[in-house]
Amino acid sequence: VTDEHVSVGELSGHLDVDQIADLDAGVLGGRRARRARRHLAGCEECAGSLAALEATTASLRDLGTVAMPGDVAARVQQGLAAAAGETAGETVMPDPAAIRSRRFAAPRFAYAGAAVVVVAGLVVVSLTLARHHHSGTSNNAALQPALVGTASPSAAYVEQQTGRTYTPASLQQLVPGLLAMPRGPLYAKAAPSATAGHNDASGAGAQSGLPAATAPRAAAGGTSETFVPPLAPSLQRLANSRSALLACAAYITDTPNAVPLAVDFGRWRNPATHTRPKPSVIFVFSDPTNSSALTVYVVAPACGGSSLLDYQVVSRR
Amino acid sequence: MRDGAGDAELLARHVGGDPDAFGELVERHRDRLWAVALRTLGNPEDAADAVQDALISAYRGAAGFRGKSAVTTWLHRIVVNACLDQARRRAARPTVALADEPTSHGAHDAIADRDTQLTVEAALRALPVEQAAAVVLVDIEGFSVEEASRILDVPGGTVKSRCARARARLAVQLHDLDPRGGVKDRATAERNEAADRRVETKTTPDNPTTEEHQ
Repeated sequence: VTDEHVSVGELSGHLDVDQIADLDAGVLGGRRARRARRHLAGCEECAGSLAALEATTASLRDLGTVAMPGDVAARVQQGLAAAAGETAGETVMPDPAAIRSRRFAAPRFAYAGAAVVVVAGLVVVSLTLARHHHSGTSNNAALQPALVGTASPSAAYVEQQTGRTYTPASLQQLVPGLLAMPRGPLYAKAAPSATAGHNDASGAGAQSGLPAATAPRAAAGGTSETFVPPLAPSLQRLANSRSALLACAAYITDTPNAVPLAVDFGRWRNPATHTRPKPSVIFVFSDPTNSSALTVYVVAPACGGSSLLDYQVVSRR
Repeated sequence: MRDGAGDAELLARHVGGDPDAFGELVERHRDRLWAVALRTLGNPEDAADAVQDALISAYRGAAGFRGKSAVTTWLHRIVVNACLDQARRRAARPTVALADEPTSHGAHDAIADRDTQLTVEAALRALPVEQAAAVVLVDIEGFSVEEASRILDVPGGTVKSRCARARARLAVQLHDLDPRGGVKDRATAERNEAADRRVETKTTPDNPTTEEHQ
């Protein structure tokens, strides 16, 4: 069967590279191996091929490992959490979400009764603290059975539009600061879209029974525009609609009712792929398994199937 | 680099209902498993699908692990199988696609090393998936032929043979060799291409001629 294979090499007077590799790997049969060794001993070119094979094996050994990218790790984690949910017989809320959402109970910067606090470069949309009746361990599904996938309309989170560029390395430093920012110097965010956004379909502003986001904006008097970079057009959809933003949070975490602690509209650049900074939303969640950590999702504006650009767990401090 | 101390214990804890144990196990090995999948399949999308499928299947099937092999061997086996399934499903991988790109043989400084690495990765992408899996496990990950044979569920001779053929293809690509021996020039390359076609109609990739001599 193999006569043709051998004869091709012999036609040119040399051993096939395949044959040399087979010999080297010890899979060439006895007679064939002896013949090949004889030829190798006297043929400089074939000896060169053997050297090239050895160099190739050495370069393979020298290949370092590659770290699993954050988005893949996030996918795996979500897949495993979903599998865990199935095992436990939870079909409605299958995943880390189920655990994580329990921790959404008290976002750090949600002040019960406070209306809207506008501060340096960000708007804290702090509506009635929805979860005051939502104990630390209660099931989220029970809280909002009719709103699976849309989150409680009165859930509170910090929203920013810093416009700054995040990288995989800088997330660790910048994200904790997102949560600290509401205590910074006050100035108004002049993006009208944000004001409109928080009064949309969910009726969040009205429901709180408090002045909507327009009030503090007027109070702060438009001193802000130089500080706030223009919002990328592709981000308008999410920035303008609270329900779209929360739907995105639910989608990306695969968790109905997922409410972030903070959201920033900025840019994302991954030097590993040499991409230019592109408009992105940074979602910050409390970590369901570690109270001193935050989970961060970097999401492209489309918020669709391949929009998860990175996922990291960062320390709160 | 084989079983880290405690892998088996983590798996047992997972089977026993510890919700964090499997995650910890994944955390330990995910980079290596990712590297294997990425280099076997040659593209990150397929690799991500394969790794996710594999780890979910490992999660569900952990109770079936009997401890006959190391936990890492078991995990690799599941990941590599998922890769082979993925490749067959998608038929995403060219079976024979050795480009005739010239390769550089620069000085051994850091830049040259990095270039070599990139070139090696690129050449790996052109291998048939079964050969890629074998050479990734043995030459890159450092598994013994015996371990690779358990992971791939094929005889040791087949592992060796697939590795040999993979190395031959890589060497041809990386060192600009004539596959029929000696240094390549255009005329012989063309002649040999014709010869290649004749030969390959008689040797299927899954049944390399040397396997018949085990």
